[in-house]
Amino acid sequence: MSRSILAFAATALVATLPLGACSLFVAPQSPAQALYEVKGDFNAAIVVADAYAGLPNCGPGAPALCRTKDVLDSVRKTADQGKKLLDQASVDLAAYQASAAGVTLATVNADIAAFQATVTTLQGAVATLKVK
Amino acid sequence: MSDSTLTQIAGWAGMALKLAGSVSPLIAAGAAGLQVLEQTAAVISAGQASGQDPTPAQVAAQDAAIASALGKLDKADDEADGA
Repeated sequence: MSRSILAFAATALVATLPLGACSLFVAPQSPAQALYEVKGDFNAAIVVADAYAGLPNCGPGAPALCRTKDVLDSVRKTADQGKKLLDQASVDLAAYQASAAGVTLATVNADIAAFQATVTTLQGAVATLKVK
Repeated sequence: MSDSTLTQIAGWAGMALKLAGSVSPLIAAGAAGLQVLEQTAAVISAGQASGQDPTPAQVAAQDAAIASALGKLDKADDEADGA
């Protein structure tokens, strides 16, 4: 097995392992806990994305483990979208906890679900990072 | 599969790469990601036991970590755009 294939296999294994592990083993019991948990998944995915972003650009003479602009742009776009949804969920959660008019539990849960969907997309993106 | 088992497997994978003479930065990131998830799970588990939500300090720390990670991603992407 070549070093590149071994690196790919091990990288794919380890980069994928954290994804969703938190939500698999811990069930939140309140909207605040649910948002905190999804934020943890979001943070973990970005940590992996950061490592990818720190690689040298792919191209002639580049090492086997390198970054491509298209992938990096896609990951950043998804991460930025996730941050916007996180901010909205945080604002609505605070309003709900303060019993603000017009903000219901359903509103907060919908915000968290939207954030979770984007985090899942981001997790999928970082799980498929590979050796070029 | 428990978190400790996942961590152990991550350790084995890292060791395999060391033996191959090539430690991927993504491996280290995967291990760091596991740490983030373990910390998150610990807060949620404690909350379940006490019936309490994460504290403002815990939320603030998490917000800071996310902001820092996003900042690194934005900076690297900007650098790639300029390369």
